[in-house]
Amino acid sequence: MKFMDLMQQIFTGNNIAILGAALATICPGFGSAKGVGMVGEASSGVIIEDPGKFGKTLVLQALPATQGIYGMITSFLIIVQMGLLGDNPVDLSIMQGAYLFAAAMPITFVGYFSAIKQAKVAVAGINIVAKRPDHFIKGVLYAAMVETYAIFSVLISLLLVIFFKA
Amino acid sequence: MSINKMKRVQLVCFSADARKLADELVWLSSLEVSDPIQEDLPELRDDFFSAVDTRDEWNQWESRMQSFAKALDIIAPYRTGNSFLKAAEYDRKTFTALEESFDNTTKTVEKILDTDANRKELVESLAALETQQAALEPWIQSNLKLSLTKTDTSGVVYFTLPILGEKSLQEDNGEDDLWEIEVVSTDKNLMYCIAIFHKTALEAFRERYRQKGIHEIVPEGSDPPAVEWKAIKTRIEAIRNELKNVEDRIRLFADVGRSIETMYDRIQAEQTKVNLLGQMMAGDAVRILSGWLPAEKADRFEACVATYTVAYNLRDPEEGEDVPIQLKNNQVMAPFETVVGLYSYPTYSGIDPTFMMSIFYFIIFGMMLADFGYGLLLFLGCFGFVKWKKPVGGTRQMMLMFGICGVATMIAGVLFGSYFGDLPSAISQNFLGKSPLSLSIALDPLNEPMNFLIISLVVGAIHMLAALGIKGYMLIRDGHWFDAVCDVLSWYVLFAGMTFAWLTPVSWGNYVLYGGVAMLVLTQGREKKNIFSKLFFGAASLYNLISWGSDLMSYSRILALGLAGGVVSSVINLMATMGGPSVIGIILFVFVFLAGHGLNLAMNLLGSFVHAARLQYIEFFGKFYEDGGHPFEPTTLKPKYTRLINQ
Repeated sequence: MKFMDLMQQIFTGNNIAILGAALATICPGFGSAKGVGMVGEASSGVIIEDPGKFGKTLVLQALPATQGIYGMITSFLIIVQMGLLGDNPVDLSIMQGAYLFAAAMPITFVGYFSAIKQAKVAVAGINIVAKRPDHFIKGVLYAAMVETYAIFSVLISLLLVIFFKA
Repeated sequence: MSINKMKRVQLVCFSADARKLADELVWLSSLEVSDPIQEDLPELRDDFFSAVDTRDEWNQWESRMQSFAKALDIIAPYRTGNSFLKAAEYDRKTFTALEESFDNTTKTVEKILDTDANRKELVESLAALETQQAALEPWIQSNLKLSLTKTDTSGVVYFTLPILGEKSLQEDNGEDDLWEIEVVSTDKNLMYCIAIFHKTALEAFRERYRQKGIHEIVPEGSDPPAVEWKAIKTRIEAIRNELKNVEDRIRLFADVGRSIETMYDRIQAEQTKVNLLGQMMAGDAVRILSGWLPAEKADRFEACVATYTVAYNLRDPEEGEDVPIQLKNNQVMAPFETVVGLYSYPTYSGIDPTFMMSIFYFIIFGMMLADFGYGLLLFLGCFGFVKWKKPVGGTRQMMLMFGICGVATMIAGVLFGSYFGDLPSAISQNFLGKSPLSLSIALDPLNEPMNFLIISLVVGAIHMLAALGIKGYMLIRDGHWFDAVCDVLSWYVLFAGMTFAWLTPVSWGNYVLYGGVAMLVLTQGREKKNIFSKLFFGAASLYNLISWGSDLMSYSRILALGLAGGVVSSVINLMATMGGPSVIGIILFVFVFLAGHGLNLAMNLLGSFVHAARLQYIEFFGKFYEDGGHPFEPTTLKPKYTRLINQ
């Protein structure tokens, strides 16, 4: 059963947990990068007409960036909980590894999708800045509403990871 | 606290006085103008009165303002230290007197624009010459005069070939060919060559090299390339010098920037006056103006127009008129009008929710951000900004609001023991090697999330009951006592019953509960026709408990946001203190602290602002608010660069 041995060796508890940590950085980071890029492209179009609007468009561009940060700190916390950064790395059982993997899942999925959707709202907000710059705050508020769900998901992920008993 | 009483103003004056009166009214800053004939006397329109056409004058001022703005842009790169200067202050007399310097400033602006046009021309010539120069560079080695393209029996062709042709060039140039090719220079992609040929051989030459990508060039000039190149170089240097002179002349204009800005504002004031004139209706000898005025400003208005021969009428608004809304609150609560304004203004017959809303907004915002450090930064930052930069209007209100909410955040931070998250604890653990600290006075949200949830829900319940109370107050104020008892009191009794029967059971609790149910069942269907419908709809109204329940659950976001901020802070602190009390550790600490907490503050600030506002709009306003008013916008001066006092 060589294949099964290989699988067993690859999917140790530690590795499953690390896989979770990796995904928690990859997916939200992917989403944020894409999202921030989308808003940046739209902003460049506005700046051509009126370079004075740079500050406002920069604020809107910064909004989808938060999901990537949330993902990164979730991964960081998982790594800390596994003791990889200190002197005593913990040996996790498969169940424990799966726990940390599952704990990373909320921010992984919600981070990606909410970043993309938030970016779309932010791009619409760039339109507001272009046509009616006085009402730019309303565009920011619209985008901030989408962030709610990323906040909820990172909260759950972090709580699950923090209260993990090695 | 309240909606300011408004008076409708109708004013008739002589046309000759119109302009001076417009000036008075603009400085009064309390009149919102609306179309007089349309709203008050539609039957007189077109018969006796017509609109005043001020478009030409307005456009004149607009084009002047644009040229002033353009001049400011031109000298902007040369003005240093500009943003640190305080805005110049003027009162009405000195500001009006500015029109004396109008001609001077206009002349200066024109000079600036001319100099800039000159500069643009020079830059263009420079670019053209540099292109010419670059085109000549490959040919410098050749001695032939550029003007020499043919003689009686021969001709000259300048051309380029792709480099691949080099070897085959040697092979092609046989003895038979009636041409001679000389390679003048080569660069990365092309060879620059001259061919001298017998005039009969031109076609054959072209035929031979067409396949190889020959590209003929006709260079400009008459002297040999090297000489031409030098001549162009001299001209370029001359232009560069002149460009420098022109730039220096522009630099000298930097000092007049202030006066241009001031004059810009002065012109804008004239434009505002013209706008007001344009909103009057004109007859043969009179003008009519109509608008809204806060009742408390009526005295000032009367004093204002007293020196002119006018006829005017101040009356109270009638039912159904679209009265502009001006809210009036004390100094601490007025900034929260921003939150009301973002949603919608109340109707004139409605109620100003700012008082109650601001208390709850204060509490909920504080609970969501809940950190002493962040609150302190918010408080100092916002009030500092207002004191130093002296913003006006909406920005000032918003800054004050955030500053006040900073106080709430500080209080919540102390209660929950959050000082930049768990920073004291992280420092004590990782830097000082001691045990973790717990500084909370009331509760630690991370350790007792359920209690925090209960507190959030209790706050929510009080919030919604207050909204119901406001509804009751509005009904009683308008004389609908019976409705108040049925719609508001019955729910209060029901909720009281639920509390005393289930939450904190007392012996008589059940009776209150039954009483509440009975009240609702009997009264909620009172609009219906027959007894069965009445009772049915009464009973069905109990279903509203579901919507009350979901509204209550909405307040759990206070827990979510409060906790999220705290947890992210802990992780940032963990990352920051990882280096231990070493030199590298301290550097890491400073860097991660600034970046991490700065980011966390920004994100949580936005989130708390949005969600605290959302709770007001949906759960609070939804119970009693009548929206649909538009904000009061008086005709006033809005200077961009100067500050006007006595406004």
